[in-house]
Amino acid sequence: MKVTGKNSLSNGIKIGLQFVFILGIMVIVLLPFWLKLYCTYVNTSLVYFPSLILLYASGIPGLIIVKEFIKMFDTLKQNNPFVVENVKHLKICSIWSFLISIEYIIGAFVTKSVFSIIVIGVFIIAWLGLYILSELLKQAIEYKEENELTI
Amino acid sequence: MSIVVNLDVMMAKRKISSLELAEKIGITTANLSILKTNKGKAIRFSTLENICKVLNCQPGDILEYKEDN
Repeated sequence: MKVTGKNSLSNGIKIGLQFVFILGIMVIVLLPFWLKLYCTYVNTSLVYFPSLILLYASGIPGLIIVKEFIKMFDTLKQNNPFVVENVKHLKICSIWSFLISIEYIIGAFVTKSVFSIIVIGVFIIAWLGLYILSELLKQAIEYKEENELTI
Repeated sequence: MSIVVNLDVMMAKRKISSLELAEKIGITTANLSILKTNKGKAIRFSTLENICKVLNCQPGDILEYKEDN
């Protein structure tokens, strides 16, 4: 199966991410409404406003991360993933992941939910993993340039 | 870069065009141009060998070390 280029796996993932992005915008716009329903009928112990702030503060960075990934998958579609822009995209994703994990560390005191601990763990791993990947990509670009300019 | 490629001097001496040289060495004219304009980062021994063979010269005739300022 083709990984890069048109009609490839990465193109399929990109379409999926675009769908997630649109869905994410809809969820964020209607968040006060959904959360009100959730607080009234499902989890009555949840405090409305702090939860709303936490979800907005992590939801919007989450969407930014998805947008950055869409841009990266765009370069994969064009068969040109070894570009400096992708290093920047990965770094941005890494920084936002770090901020989300910090937000949930603070938010864990408000929501008092076990779920927060899982989110903290996932985003700390994402922060470090994405940072390492961005550095690796930077090195790969240097190797590629050197290889291309060896005559 | 402190290593300078003086290929054009040797090419002028041997009265050979870029196109002809590129064909004889077996590289593209685009790559030869990179080499001539000192934009290259490294040169394969095989390429250097071919250049020396075609131009009938020594590596020292086309490569020069200049101190970086």
